[in-house]
Amino acid sequence: MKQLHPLLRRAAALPAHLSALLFGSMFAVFILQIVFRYALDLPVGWTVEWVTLAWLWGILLAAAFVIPTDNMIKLDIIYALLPRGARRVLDVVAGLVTAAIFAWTLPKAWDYVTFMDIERTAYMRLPFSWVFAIYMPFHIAVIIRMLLVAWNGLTGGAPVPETHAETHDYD
Amino acid sequence: MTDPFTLAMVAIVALSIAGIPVGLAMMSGSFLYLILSGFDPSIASEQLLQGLFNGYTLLAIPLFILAADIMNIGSLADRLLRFCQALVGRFRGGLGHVNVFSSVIFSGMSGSAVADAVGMGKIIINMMTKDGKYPPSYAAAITAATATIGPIIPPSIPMVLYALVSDQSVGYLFAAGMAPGLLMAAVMAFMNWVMARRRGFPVDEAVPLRELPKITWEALPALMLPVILLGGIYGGIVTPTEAAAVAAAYALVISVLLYRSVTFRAFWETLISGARSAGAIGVLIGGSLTFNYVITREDVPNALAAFLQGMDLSQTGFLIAINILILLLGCILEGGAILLIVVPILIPAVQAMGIDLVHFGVIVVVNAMLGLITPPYGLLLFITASITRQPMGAIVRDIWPFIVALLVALGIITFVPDFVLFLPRLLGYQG
Amino acid sequence: ADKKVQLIYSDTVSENDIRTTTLRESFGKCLGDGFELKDYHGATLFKQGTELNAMQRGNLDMGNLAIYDFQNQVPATSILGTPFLFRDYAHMRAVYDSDVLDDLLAEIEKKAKVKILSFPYIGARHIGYKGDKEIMTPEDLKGVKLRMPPGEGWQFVGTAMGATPVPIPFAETYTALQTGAIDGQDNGFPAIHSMKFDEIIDHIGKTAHLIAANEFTISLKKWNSMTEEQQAKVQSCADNFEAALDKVTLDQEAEYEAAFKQEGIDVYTPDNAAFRKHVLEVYQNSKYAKDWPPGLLDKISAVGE
Ligand code: NA
Ligand code: NA
Repeated sequence: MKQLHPLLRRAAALPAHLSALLFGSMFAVFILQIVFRYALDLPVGWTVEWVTLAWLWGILLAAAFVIPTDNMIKLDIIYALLPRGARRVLDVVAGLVTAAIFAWTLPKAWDYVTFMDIERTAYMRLPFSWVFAIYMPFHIAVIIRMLLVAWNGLTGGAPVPETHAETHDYD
Repeated sequence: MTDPFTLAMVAIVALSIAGIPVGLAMMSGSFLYLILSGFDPSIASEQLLQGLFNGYTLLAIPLFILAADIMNIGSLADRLLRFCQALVGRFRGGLGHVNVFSSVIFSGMSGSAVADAVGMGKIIINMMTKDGKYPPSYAAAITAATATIGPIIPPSIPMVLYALVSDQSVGYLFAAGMAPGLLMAAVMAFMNWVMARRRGFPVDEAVPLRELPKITWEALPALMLPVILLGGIYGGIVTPTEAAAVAAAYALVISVLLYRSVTFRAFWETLISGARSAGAIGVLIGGSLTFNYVITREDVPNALAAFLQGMDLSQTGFLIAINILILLLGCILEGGAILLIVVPILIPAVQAMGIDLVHFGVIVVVNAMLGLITPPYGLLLFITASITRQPMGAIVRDIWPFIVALLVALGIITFVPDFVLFLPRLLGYQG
Repeated sequence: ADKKVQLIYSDTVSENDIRTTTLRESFGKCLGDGFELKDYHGATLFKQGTELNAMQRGNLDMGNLAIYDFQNQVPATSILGTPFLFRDYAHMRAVYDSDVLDDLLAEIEKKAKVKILSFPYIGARHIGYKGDKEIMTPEDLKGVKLRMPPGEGWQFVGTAMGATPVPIPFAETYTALQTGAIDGQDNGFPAIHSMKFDEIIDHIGKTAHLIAANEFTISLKKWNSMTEEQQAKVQSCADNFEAALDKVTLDQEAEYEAAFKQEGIDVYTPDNAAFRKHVLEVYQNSKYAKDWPPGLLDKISAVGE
């Protein structure tokens, strides 16, 4: 990433800022919802819909473009103990298998997301095909990420596994 | 159970061991099951999307993360520690007690053990190891051990996850964690007192009592947060999810206006890292949502319940077995993974054994938190080890007395349901 | 020999609910050897509100749906969710047994690609509250903070009745009643019993504002894959289930009503004609009425009159 052109680097940081924006709007709208209900005695429904929408888009966006594959939650005690050669073999095999499964199911996922055009959300009346549209980049990103895992295994470019505290805030 | 199911299970375990993120491994296994069974593979995508979109209570998770992060970048932690030191620093092993007590207070605002260890941990470890007062490994051990209280005393992110898979009220689960959290603090304070006498830890210079009002006053806005949070939830004013937003807003307001310690830039960074945390847990939740369809379709939970009933275990025997199972799993799995993968399979069996699901939730979460300090895979150990730059072995040697103390607490929590349930019942829980 | 017809069924109520046992007894056993009912409960297989889509995609055969589930695809169905549409249980049953809904059911089959087999009764909702006087008319409800389920449609029911609706999750309602955050709630007798609201409220006005039936539904794909004989069997067992669940629900309502009276709760009947007139007027002038088939409201009202 260090050698990227400044413009490209900015573009690469865009999803992170976008997910922060969604997350921030979720926070703000929640506060708005409480104020509306208790201070102004005005229950509003669109707020609930917005926060769930922001949550869904925020996490799938982050999962697709922001979090490095290595920072996702793993069960890698055994993996970490293995010699480098064995890890590379596992990377190639597991990466290809997962990529294949996600690639095979891609058309079906598309079929579902477009099918949901027939339902609309309760308040904002958004077609569910739009609401769920963010799933497609996520599904595709998994395929690419898994191919990269396999590629890194093949070329020996895979980093040494590490545990990162910041991705475990929920424990 | 059919062959596609066996193959899917094998795939999930094999891919996870091969280093594929657990959430993605579960999605792969679920897709594989659907393909091999001749079902529509998009069911997995559907379960993930509908589950996340309808999981309103889940929204509390990123908000509690945000609240804790804001408190950590603000100077709340410093003020709270000064307050705790003024109160309990004067006793033998004083800073150890400060460590326990500050974790109790911080637990009342944060829903995560990691947030506690990362936020307060750094400061208190510095205080304890300065001038060689305490061995760094002991400081690391007690900080990791006391951080486990974070998600037991409400609010609690693991309890929200448990509420998702068990369909129990977040409010009652929160209330049920209160007494067990205080019990855990008490047994650890006791263990610290024992250690302090045996190892001759110093008595800290007592903060003069006349300074107490000023120190309390300075910490008061932070001390008010748990009161606001719990009052809001149990006063019926806000839902637990909304309470998470209130907590974050309150932390932000006092940090910006009163303590003037948070810049917009720092806040934005917090939002980005919060979104990353939410994304990481989101992948795991998504994986468990897809996998849940598979185990439901295959009737696994009911089959397990029938099997366990056939074994004719007593309730006590069952509870002991469950505790051992989850403690062992906790040595190798994340707390979140245990709650999202293992617990849904167990729930029908737990119900069939006549065990209250709120009580069970507390047992499971305490177990999962113990898993954070048990080697080889103990996240809190990793964190405090990296703060103190101590070898794991030294920390493990100093943490086992605390593990023993916590196991005693776990025993009481497991076998005295009334101890856990009296508070939720007081608030209207019918279990 | 013919292969067994497998029916995958998803429901929102839990495994231990009386509706589950009723389903297995009166529908599952009734089907006999030619069928295999695989029933999943507690919304574990498909989330509440997503069953219709699952049926349309061929991933689910049957479900016990709520009328609101059809609203997006067949907006005209909204009329069946209108409060005070039915005068009482007998009126509700007479309407579903009559032919006044035939056009609407045909529209559902055409647009949503599912067939509604029967309309089992799941109970009437009443207003239960704490206060010092009996609420008899919409005017008496003015300013009363009534908990209604979250959601725009539900909240509007409260508004139309004359109350101030407060959206609170079901599980938090007891606490809200206890602390006085709300004055009352609208649930049927069995729910009041299971959630122990009777410990706090002292009045139950039997408004029966919603006399609710579920839509016991099968996907057209599954239906068309069966022989005529099999279809007849499924239909007669669905009717059997409807009759059985009606009885279970009515018995439960009678049992708990008597128990609540025993406890000293004031169970009474308000001026429901006044409520009916007021609420139907509000609905007819709202956006909810614009999708109603013209003249159907009058036809429904005329049944049995
Ligand atoms: Na601590
Ligand atoms: Na907490």
